[in-house]
Amino acid sequence: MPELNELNIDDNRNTRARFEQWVKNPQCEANALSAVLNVKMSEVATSAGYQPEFGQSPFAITRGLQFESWLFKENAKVLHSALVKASMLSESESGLLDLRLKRNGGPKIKSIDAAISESHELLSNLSEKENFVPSSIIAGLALRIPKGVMLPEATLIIDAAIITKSQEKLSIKVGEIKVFPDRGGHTDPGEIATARAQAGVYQHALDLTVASLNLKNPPIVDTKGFLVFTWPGTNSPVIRPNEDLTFQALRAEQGFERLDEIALRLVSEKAESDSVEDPLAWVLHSKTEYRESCWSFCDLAARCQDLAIADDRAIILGREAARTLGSVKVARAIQLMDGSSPDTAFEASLQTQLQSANWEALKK
Amino acid sequence: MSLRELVRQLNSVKACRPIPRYSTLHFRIDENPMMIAFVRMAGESRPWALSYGRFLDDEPKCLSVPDGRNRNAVADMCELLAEDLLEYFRVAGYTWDPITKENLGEGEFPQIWVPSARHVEMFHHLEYAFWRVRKGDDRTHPLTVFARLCGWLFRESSRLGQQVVIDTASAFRDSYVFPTDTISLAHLGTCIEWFKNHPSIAENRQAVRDVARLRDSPTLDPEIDYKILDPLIERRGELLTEAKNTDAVDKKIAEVLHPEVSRRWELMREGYRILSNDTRALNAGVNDLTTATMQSFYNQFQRIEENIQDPDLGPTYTPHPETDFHGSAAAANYFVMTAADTAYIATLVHHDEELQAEALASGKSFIAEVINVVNLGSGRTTTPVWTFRVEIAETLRIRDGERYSPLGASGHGILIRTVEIIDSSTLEVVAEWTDRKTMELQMPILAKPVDTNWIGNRLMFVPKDGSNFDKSKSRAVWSAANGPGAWLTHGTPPLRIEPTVIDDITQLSGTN
Repeated sequence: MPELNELNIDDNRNTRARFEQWVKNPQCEANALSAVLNVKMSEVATSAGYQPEFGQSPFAITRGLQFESWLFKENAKVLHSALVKASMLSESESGLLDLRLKRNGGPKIKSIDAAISESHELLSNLSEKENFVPSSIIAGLALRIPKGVMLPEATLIIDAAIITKSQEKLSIKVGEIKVFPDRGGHTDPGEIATARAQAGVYQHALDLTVASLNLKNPPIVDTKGFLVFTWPGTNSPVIRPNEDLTFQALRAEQGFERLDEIALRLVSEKAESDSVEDPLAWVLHSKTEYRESCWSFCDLAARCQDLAIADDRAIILGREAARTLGSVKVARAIQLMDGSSPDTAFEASLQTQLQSANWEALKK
Repeated sequence: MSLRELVRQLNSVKACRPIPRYSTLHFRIDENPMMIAFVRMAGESRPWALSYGRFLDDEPKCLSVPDGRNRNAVADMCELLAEDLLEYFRVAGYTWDPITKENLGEGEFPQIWVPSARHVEMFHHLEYAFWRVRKGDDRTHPLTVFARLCGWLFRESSRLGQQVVIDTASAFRDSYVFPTDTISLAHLGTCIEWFKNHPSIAENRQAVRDVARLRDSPTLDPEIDYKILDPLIERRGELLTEAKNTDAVDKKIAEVLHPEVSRRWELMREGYRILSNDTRALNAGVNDLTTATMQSFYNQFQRIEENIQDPDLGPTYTPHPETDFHGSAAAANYFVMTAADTAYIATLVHHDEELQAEALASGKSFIAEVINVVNLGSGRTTTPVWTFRVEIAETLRIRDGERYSPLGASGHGILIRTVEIIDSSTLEVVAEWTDRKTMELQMPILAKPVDTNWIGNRLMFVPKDGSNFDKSKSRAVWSAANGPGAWLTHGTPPLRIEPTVIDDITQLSGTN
């Protein structure tokens, strides 16, 4: 499914996608470097002679754009109605401030810088203008995170946000729009988790931005957000209201900090050893940590699997097998199971476990 | 992952090919099942093309529409599938010989094969697409009945032990252990490729990777979309705008879609051949599971259709595709699922050595040596009570109050009364016979439980099938309107929020 609001955005600034890529395998140095240096894994894979496989269907992209434009059409009539039904907004709370870029279907904003400037102005107005009546729905709220080595220009664009008034203070709730179908209890849990995680990143970014603006009377960044999915087979929105994003935002905060630490370490290590002229080669020659889940997001997975096979690592049998066998190679595990003398205490323990689990034991 | 599973995986690496996971097959392989494969447009949930037919058919039927977003065209295509599928399932009103409560076990058992889990999900999408009826609509229209059947198939597919929907890739994973990780086995092509005779495991791995490039899921390769189909769909849109004939473009689209959906279907047929040529015996417990599936078919689907055909038979409850929206139905279905979970292993374990070994290794079963037999019954009652010794294994879950059956006698049952630790390697267990306590056991000796000849014999006990208790709870919950918890199970159903459905094409054309 397409990542709304990220389509056509300059990749150099697509912070969230890089962050999410890193989160999928934080132990992999090549993956971390790719995120830090903003080097596309597809290019790394091509340079290593592997065929990149990831890409989105034009139909999926069209569907995403169509859904988004449908939601925000006519002053966000459809989205507003769905949010009212889900009790996220009242009938009287209305209005749309559309900060989406023109190339993404927005009405007037031409560049990300302009979107960020307008977004920051909105946050200032919420804080400082006493009689300011904001639009209740904001499309494409753009934020720049003011920190980080990895993210010197950390930019995030929130799919949709709503502004409500609670206890005399304005509060902002972030929302994530996904075009995949909400099938109630049968909805793909992975898809929901991804949407929640992304909303958590937005919430954290909004928190950081509001704090960095040093506003007198800052708006409250609500810990509860919302997810917008589709009713299966249609473009009608289904709202998942009041999603508690507290821990997702915490995950994002810790993730960003950790990624910055890694970035600092990697950059300084490399700077000490030699000059960095070719980031592509740097990523390619970094240590990898292959997992079977890499196939779902990384173009370099085939190369890493080849290395794992050549090295006879247990990960080729899956993560669970690798956890049990540790650093013991597959061939060695077979030898141990068949009765070879163990060389280490770990091997002895492993042999006992493997032999006791072997069904022949039942026949004795 | 259990250690036994790891051992099996290592044995599979040794063999350089998949090895059988269990001693028997745990699902019924019908001689001539219905097989269906779908293709859908990326981002859409309804099918764009489909291929279906019986295994013994020379060629499957291949259907497609030029634009997968056109609801009416998709509905027309699905109606053809609906009519064939309803007839195959002998649905009331669509055949002269419908499955009824009386002939449940007779005639052909309907079974439907799909390539992988994503295709099973398509049944849910189809239910969503055609389930909705408005007041006054004909509820016996083929598409509406088909939607309800798809809903039942989708729900039933998640009931452990069901025998009607076979996800072929999953059937491979359940039946064999492969020398690779599980994620790669989600693809049916990779499962099949492992059975081909490549000279070495390295070449096998390479072949498996190559075959995985050809998608088996309902969504097409984005490259095909980009390079071939997107330009064709665009051209078609232009022709429509100019009010020109689109037949030539439609034909080209079909020429791309048909090979794709046929390839998925053929993959499934190849998978069926491998599985049906497996020399292992069918687990005898599968017959019970098949009966349970047919009962589910009748109770959860066919009975409702009978009632819809003849409203005099009483009111009907048709489940919503999203959730129950009905406390009693939710509670009853919960117990149905629990019963299936309980019954699955308890039914199969008696006939499968590997399952028995697995149960022993996980501590769910035990081997006991009988040291005392007494009859604590008074008068004409017989209450055999055994005392036996059990060797303490690495994992042993035996506890007071649990019920077990002797291996090979699933009808017999004991209830654990006390468990006492004798020393570091031995437990002493006192158990009372509760089921078929006056009937003879067949093995290891032919004797009634009360017979003292059992002393000194060793026999294995496996978990007792306690699913009947859950089944009776499932029935009871419907009539518990005045009992405790009625506020939950018989409360007012929540208001359903359903959107107004607008055709995607209409939206695209901007008329809304």
